[in-house]
Amino acid sequence: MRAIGSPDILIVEDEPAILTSLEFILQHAGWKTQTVTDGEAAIRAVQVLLPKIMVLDLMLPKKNGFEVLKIIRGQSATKNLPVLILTAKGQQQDKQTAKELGASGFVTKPYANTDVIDAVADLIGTVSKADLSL
Amino acid sequence: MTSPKQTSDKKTSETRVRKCKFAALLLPILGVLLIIPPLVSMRTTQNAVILGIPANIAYLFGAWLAMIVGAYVLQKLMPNVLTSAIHAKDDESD
Amino acid sequence: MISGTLVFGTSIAYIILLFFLAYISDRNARLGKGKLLRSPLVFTLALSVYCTSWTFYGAVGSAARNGLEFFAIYLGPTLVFVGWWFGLRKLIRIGHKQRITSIADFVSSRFGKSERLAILITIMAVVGITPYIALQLKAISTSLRVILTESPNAALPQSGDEVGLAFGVAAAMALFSVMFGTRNINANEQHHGVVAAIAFEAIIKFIALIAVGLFVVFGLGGGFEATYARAQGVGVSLDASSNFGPRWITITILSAAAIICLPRQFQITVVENANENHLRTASWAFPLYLFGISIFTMPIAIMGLSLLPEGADPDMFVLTLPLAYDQQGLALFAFIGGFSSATSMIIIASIALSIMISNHIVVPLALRSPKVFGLEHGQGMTRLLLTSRRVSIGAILFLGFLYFWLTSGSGALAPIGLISFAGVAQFLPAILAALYWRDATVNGALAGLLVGFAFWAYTSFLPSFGTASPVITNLLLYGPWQLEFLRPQALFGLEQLDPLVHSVFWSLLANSMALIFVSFVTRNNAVGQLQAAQFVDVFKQTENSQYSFTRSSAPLNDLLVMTQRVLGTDHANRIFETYSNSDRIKQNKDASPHFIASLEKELAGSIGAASAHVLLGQVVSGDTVTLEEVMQMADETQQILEYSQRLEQTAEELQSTTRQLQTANNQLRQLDQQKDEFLSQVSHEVRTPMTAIRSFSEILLTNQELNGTQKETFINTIHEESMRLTSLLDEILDLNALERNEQLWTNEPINPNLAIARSIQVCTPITEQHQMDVRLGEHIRHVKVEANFDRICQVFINLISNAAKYNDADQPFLEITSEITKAPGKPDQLLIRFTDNGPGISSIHSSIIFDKFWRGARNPDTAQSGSGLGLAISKEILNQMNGSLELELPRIGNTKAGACFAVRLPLHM
Repeated sequence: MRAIGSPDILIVEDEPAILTSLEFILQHAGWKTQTVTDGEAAIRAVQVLLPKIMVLDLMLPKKNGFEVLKIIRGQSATKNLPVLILTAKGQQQDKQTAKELGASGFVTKPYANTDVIDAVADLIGTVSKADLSL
Repeated sequence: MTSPKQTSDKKTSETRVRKCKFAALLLPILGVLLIIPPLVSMRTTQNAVILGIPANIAYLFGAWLAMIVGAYVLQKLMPNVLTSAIHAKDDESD
Repeated sequence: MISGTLVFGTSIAYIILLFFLAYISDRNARLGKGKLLRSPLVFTLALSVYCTSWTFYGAVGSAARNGLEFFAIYLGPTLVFVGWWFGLRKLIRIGHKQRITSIADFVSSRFGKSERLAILITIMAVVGITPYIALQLKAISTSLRVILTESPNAALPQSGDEVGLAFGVAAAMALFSVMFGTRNINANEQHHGVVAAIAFEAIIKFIALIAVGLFVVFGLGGGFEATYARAQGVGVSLDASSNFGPRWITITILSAAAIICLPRQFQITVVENANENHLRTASWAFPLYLFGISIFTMPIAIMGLSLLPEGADPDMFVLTLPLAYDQQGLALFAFIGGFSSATSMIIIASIALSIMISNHIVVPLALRSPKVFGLEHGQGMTRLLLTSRRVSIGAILFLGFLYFWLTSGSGALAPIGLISFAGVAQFLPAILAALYWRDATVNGALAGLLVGFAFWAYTSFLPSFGTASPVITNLLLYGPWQLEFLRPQALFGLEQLDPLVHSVFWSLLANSMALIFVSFVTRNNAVGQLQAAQFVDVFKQTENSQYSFTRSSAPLNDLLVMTQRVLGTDHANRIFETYSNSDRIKQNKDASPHFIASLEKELAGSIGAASAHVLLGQVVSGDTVTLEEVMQMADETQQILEYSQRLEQTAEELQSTTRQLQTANNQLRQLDQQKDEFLSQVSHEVRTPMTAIRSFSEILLTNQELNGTQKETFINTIHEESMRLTSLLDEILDLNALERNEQLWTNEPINPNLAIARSIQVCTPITEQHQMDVRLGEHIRHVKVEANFDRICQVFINLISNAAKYNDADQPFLEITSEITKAPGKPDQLLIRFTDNGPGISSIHSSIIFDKFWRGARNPDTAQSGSGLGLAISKEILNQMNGSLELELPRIGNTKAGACFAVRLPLHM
């Protein structure tokens, strides 16, 4: 059950410039966003805010993206939360690990803005369908 | 085939040969030391007499005799030269 | 009074007895009987040919004149025999293997079978031994006169009849030696008969001397103690200070050398030796013989001085003491003993010398001009050898007589003997080099011998004629051409030295130096190298490792004819029959190289190595062995020995190489992994700013409606990120260059405080942004370090900005201090510490903070972060300044644990 006023998207990104741009394009696409800049904050925020989806960078201070993903998948509230992984490493192995840990999507930096928007739209679409099915 | 016992016997004799060779080297060196100063001229009482012979002469005869006895014992202990000539490889070049 | 008839009759009877003994022994030896002849006992007794009439008569004289000096004459040989394992054994082994016929043959054989060397040594030996033979003649003639006249005043030369007597003795001795030594030519120059006779003489002289000694000590003196008690009274010095000086040591060295170098000793020890094992017995028995023969020397001297009238010749005490107390029988026995000592020396010495003369002088001459020497026909060579030896013996004795005549009985016996000793001692360096020094060359040996001989002749031999000629007397006193520093007995101003010590010192020193120096600058020819290996490594060779000296071949028939010429028909035929029976290739008319080599040795046994080599060279035709081949052969033995050693070494090397390879491989793999990681890291670092740039440019492109402020912000971000990208790439390249140790700058003396000030100033914006207080703590004011100003600023800026970026304290500060550190063995350094009160660096990170792309937990407010290369670059920079960058534990007392970076820089001296 999502709280009223909770954001559609929780953005976890430590690079300020990237964070700014992500915030801009996703808001511009019509979603409400919330941002955090490290892994621990992301875990806390996701419990409280219960966003529709999470956009997660892999290289993060305190806890990296994989750790965050692992933890939130272990908690019932966020077990099925769609998570879009952003990574600058772009290696096949990262993709694999992310998938195994339950990532829902994967975008490699540097990305075209539309890639992110499309991926987020996809994931939010699934959520909406799930909502309907409930 | 060499039994372990034979090997150890051989080793013992090799050690003995080495010791003998060392003694063969040591003997003339000691001999030289005995008959050159300072040892040869190191007696406090010049007029001492041993067995009726003045100390200097007695010393020389004594050192001499010691060398002779040493040489006698050494050649008794030294392995046969001709045998070692056949096993010339074991033999030492001096 | 002993009648002349009795004396001469006894002497002649004694000689006949000796001759008979020799004859019987020779016959027994030929028949293969006579085990005793080849026993160690006979060998040992024959060695006592060392004890000549000098020992028999002269030692007593020496004891009377020079105290204990005579001991040294016997202690030298004792040392050599006691140390037989290392010297004599090798000498004998080589002598047997190489069929050595004389000392000249030995040295020449070792140094490439050099004829010149053989001739030189022969001449030296003849000259050196001449005084010695004169000494024997003198001893015999004097003793003869003493026993005939019973005059104790024998020292005073009375008239020409002494010379006549000596001449008669010399002639008789020559005849005797010829009869003994040259009855036949043996293959191996072994004279069993002579050796037997000499051994017999050894017994006679020993018993005679002991008999006289017992009579003198117990018959006249009343025991040893009473005898020695008289020493003081007659002026015999027994105390150490006057006896054991340089002269003592010199005589010990000389006598040790003489027991090897004297041609007659070499003859008995090496040439006549039948079995190497006889040396075992001789090693103690010969010293024991010497010991026994010297027991009574000093007592006889003391008693002679004490009992006989003043002016009595001490050299004749052995004879005059019994005579004075009417012991005619004992006196006659003593005379025969002295006669024995003299004859044995003369016989062996003249035989040894005659072999050398015939083998090394006559035969080479004959080989050059065969017609003159009548060598065209069958038995020519054998006859030539016999004739030349007979003539040589006569000549040698005549020379001895001449020396005796010229020095006309001036000196006592012992000094003459010592001149000879010093002369033959000149062979010692060459012999030692022959035995132990592979690189000694023929020219080195020649030079050493010549120089040593010249010094000896000038400082020792020449002065012995001092009384014979006023010219020489003048020379001794004032030097040649009045050049005092060239006086023979005070050469180069070396005065106040005993003439003997002086002569031995200069001659042996010059000899050895010449040998060593010339050997260093010259090299051996092929045969020389081959022989050097055969001598020096004689114990490393097995019985079968005979070298084939030549690849050449020769018709058997020619060889047979030649061998018959040298060895006689019978002997030659025997050799060839054995060969054709044993050799499988009977039809072959050419001799095998192996046979030629063994034949060469056989011939060398008769005429010496050098002559045998030349002789064979006349018959053997075909390929000459190349230098390389012979050198290869010479090195073969050593190579085989070194081979196994090398194998072991190689195995070890292989193992260690494998280990090294494994290590290198691991390192390479690690490096490869590091490279992958680095690439991945770089990719990540590049992608991050690129993401922002791309994203914002797309935003700007697609969203035309953006207001001015937004546009400006976005464009600014793009710009910043581009700058970041640029500096990242710059830093990567910079680090790469640093890691490859490219010298990017030169270090120079700079003021570190200026650099710190500049860096603080540069960092002001970032420190102000984080409200961090930068304090300058205790620091060294006037100091210079070896560094580069811009680069050191780069390091400081990095450290300051890092401190600012990661310090999350309420009141952040950074303290910079400096001090000078001294460590033993290291140059003094300036230590600059950057201590902050930030979160610090946990111990798990402390080892990786200098790794590339490592970054601390950033303060979230930071707009811009670094590349993660800063510390890595800083560390490299300091390395190249011979300094260092380390993380230190914060100093105790700091309330809040922060980080402390220590920069060390070498001080400018």
